[in-house]
Amino acid sequence: MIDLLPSAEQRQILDATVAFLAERLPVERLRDADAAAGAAEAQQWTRLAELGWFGLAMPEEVGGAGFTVAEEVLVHRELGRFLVSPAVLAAALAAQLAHAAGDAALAQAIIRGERRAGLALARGELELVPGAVDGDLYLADAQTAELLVLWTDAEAVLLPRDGLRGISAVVPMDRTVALERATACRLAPVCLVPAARAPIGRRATLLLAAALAGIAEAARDRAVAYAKIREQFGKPIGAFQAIAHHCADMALRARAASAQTVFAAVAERDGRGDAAFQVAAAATVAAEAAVWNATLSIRVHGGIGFSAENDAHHFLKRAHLLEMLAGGARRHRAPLLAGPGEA
Amino acid sequence: MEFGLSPAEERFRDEVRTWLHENAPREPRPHDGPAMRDFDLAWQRRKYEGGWAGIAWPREYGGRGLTLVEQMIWYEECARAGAPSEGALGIALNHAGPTVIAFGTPEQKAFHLPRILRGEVLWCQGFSEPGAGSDLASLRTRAVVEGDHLVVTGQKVWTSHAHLADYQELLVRTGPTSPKHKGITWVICDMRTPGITVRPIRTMADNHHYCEVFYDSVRIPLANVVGRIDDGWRVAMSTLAFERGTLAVGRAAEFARLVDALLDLARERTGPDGRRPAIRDEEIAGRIATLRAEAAALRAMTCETVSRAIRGEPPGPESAMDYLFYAEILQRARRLALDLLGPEALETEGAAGAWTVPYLADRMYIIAGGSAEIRRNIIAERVLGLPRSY
Repeated sequence: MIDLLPSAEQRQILDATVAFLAERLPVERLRDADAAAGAAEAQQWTRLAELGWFGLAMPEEVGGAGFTVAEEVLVHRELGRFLVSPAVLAAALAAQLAHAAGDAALAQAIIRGERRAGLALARGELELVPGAVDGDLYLADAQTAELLVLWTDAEAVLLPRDGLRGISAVVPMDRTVALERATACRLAPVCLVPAARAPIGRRATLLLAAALAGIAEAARDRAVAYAKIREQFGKPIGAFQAIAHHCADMALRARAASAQTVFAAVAERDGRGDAAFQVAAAATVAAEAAVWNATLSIRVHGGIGFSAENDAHHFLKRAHLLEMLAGGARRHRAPLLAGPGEA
Repeated sequence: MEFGLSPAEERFRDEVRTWLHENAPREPRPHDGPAMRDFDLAWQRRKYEGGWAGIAWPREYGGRGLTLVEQMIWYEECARAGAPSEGALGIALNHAGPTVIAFGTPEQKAFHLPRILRGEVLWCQGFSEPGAGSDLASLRTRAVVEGDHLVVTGQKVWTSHAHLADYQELLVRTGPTSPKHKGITWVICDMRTPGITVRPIRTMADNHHYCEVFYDSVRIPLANVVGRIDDGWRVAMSTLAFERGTLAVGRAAEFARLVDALLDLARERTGPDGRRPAIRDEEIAGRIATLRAEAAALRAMTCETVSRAIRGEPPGPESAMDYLFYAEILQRARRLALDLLGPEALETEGAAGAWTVPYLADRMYIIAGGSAEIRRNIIAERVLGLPRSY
């Protein structure tokens, strides 16, 4: 069957997700510094666990929601749209990692929201061998996390936060996320999973692509809404082609990002041979769409778009964070040049 | 969200693959003139003999009546096999023919449809005029009813393949005082009718893709009117989306092949450092990787559009977005080829010509059938709900 649109059940999941986010985690929350660094999410962590967000694609016997990566991608697109803390992604990945490593109890505890995880990003060269991890790291929204998710193309690990050295906060570009520096010195991971057993890194890239597609959509929607109400020369600025065409380009990029992310999710779910290629393509077009749409959204907003009082800048900054977490454009080059194969 | 073929569809794909392998012409398609016409008609005749003429046409009119998924498979397999497109017969197969099917009289259907399917005739599309391009409905070529004829006087322009065509789907102004979208009539024009003068126009790609067509009291039987007099705008517009996005899936597959070919070129050619293959150059590798990602996205977008059609949704603005995306990435892919060729890009013959001629010719895609700018207007207005800006 060929049907790349959400089914009725997927539509329901989407609608419920959007309804919750709009009520409990609206983007405006980020104007309050106390809500940043994942604080608003942390306050509602139990509720998020009840929604199943940390185990969407996990089997029900370990406490997961029993859906697939396709539904997970739809939810993460909305998480991107609402600039939800990357701690949610960290939890979802940590649970999958623990499960793949055979630690069902840990997976369950993460899914239930009892144990917290954050994302780690290599800040340079990284040695990742079974006994130990060596390297400089950034940690994103991991201040209250006990575990850190880190991956390379070859494997993924959960690291204990209390084993890291020299943890220090830095002033991040995206002030809505807490960013820290830390160093791992021959640090033994809590668990390690080779990509051949469970492609955690690819899953991370796909979910980041989904969130980036969500940012691209949100930036488009905000720019369009503003172009309809802001008047100059006696009419809405959206009536001028200079603005209208920017908006059309945003719609085009958002559509490309969303369509490719869904396509990649289906390939990943069905275990198709071209999954790695499709995920790399999704990350590439989604990152470009997110950064470019957020840029254009700031421009369409004009003077207020440049201010910190408007939310437009958050989308650009978050887009850069997620793009880096996904490895940046160069990480996707090899699978793209290798091509999809005979899929 | 599903993307897979049923066993029956897989068998169908294998059947298409085998047939194309055995029947698709291997010789290159001539770029111009009667040789190109002969090539396109011969390919159509071969498809007709193999039972592949009019794949989307209903069976009762001699078509193959394929499902949307089967049509997608057909176009993707054609691209995969490097089979020629419908070429100059695209208008007959995907617009004029379907319009006759939808609105034609039994006599019109009986006469024209078999001739199109059998590859006997070439149709052109007499829509654009010197004063009616993006604003097509402002067309002024006049037609007056005299007895049982329409008498047509005026001019069309940018008419693809008019100098090679047997028939034309012609839009004329029959109601000069009506609002501009009313008062237009869709009529079948025999290109051999006295009073028609065709002047081919040389394009920037040095071929004669399109023409000016002049009408001096051209008498067309009223029996050639398709639909009602003054109802031609609706007639023309209602079949614009006849193939429901499946052709765009084929274009996406052709684009993916183009990027494959660019990658091959980047491996063969020496890069900017004058020593290593071009693919070793960071910037070039990055540009090709991005085009690969965009090719994948184009396929995903076009398949999503077809998904909507399969679900029975009416044609929406998605296809305008897919086409615009295609047109834009095509320009960049063509430009990359020139960078890979280096100074040889200054030639339009031989090995370089295979890249430089399309670099020039494919500029058509951001202008023809609705310019990229008009498509952006449509997206802004119909997808985003912005005020009309034109």
